[in-house]
Amino acid sequence: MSTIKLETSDGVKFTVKTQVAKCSGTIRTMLEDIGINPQDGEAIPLSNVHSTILQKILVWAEHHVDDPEPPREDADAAKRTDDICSWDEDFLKVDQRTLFDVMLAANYLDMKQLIAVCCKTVANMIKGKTADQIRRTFNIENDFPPGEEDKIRLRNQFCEERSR
Amino acid sequence: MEKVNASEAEFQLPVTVWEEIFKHLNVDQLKQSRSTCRYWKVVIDGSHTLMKRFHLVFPEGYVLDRFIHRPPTIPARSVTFERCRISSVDSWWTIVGEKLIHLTVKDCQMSFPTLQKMLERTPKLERLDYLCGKYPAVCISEGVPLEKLHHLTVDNPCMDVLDAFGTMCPNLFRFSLLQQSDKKKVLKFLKGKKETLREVELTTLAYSLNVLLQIKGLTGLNIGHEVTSDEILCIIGKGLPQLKSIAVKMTKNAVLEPSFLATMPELESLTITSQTCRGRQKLNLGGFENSKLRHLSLAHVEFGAFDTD
Repeated sequence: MSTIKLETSDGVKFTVKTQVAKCSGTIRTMLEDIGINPQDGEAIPLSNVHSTILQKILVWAEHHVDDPEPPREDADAAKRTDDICSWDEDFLKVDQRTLFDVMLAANYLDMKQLIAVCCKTVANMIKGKTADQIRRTFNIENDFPPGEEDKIRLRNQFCEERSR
Repeated sequence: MEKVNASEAEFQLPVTVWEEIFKHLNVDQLKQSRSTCRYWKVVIDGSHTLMKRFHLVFPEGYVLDRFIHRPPTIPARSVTFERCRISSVDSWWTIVGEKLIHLTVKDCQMSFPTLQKMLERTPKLERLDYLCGKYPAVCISEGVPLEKLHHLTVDNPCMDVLDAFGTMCPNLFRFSLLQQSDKKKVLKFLKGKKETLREVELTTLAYSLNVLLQIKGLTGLNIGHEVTSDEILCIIGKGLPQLKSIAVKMTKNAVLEPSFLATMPELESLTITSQTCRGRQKLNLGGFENSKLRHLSLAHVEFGAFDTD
């Protein structure tokens, strides 16, 4: 089975099945379009990904390597968040910092399915919370000028879900 | 210190990823999110996909005049004014208007020139529902053309508005007229839109049938006109064989034979209603085959596949 080498930002080299590495659109492009030859034994540099995160991402890719393309969802209404498989749910039971690092790396590596499941996870952390509770959950600072938040709340009251 | 670090980690995510997260939230959750911090508000308000889900509704009795304080300037793509009093729109309207797709003005006290002034600042408007049936429009002049406006509903006793809308909607695709009084104005309007119209809703066919039959691109027809037999439907079908959707009303005790369906080979949707629930209105589909018909909607009409003599 063919393998390729990947090198992370902290200089760690990983030997990965080519098929698994190709879960990443970025690596796929490098191999197919730019013509980097994995047989040369030279590692593909992933300068934006740390080894701890790549290790985690490779576990995910290994598990999902044979997944079919998911159906496209209509973005006119809120997308579903109740369809995360239990394996992914367990996989993403990590601290917030790691979750965001995984998302950042998945975005750099162009792994749409991993990003999608992370987005659902973060959306579930927002759902059912007030602005105040959201801030506490994500450690976000309220950076509105004084009085602005009340104004936004007042204006929010005028809005409802558009019926189609 | 730790607080700052945590926030930084989150905000490294590109806008597209944040937008993707927010796409999983409904409007109530989005409202909470946009009151969380400036960055989230910028991402949500700046997303066309998310703002399309927002419907801004000005409550009954709301007064929009020169003295309005803090109007709700949310760039929602759909706005409704219902039973509001609008005497003037100021610079704030641009913030809402410049991205607006669908505007509904229902039973509002507002002059037609004020509406036209609002429409001058809605270059992306695709749909306008002007539903002020109790307030006859006056002082009507030509307005600026809205290239994207393709769906117009008009409910007003003054048919002069049709002259104005004629110039304002050069690319009209779907048109509903809920009050019809001035025959000449209606005919002139329909003739002017012959090239672009695809779907038309009228309250009566009394004088407009001949013009409608000239709109060769017409695929949808909704008429409040009461039909007594399939005769008029056969005339429509022969003139407009490409019709995909038709909605009509039946008179009391009328029976529709399936022959008209043979004149409409492309028909996909058929809606027949009757305002009376006392009589026995019947639709007969006996002996009818080879139809593309997929959607049949009946109200107070009996449905059968029976053979008549």
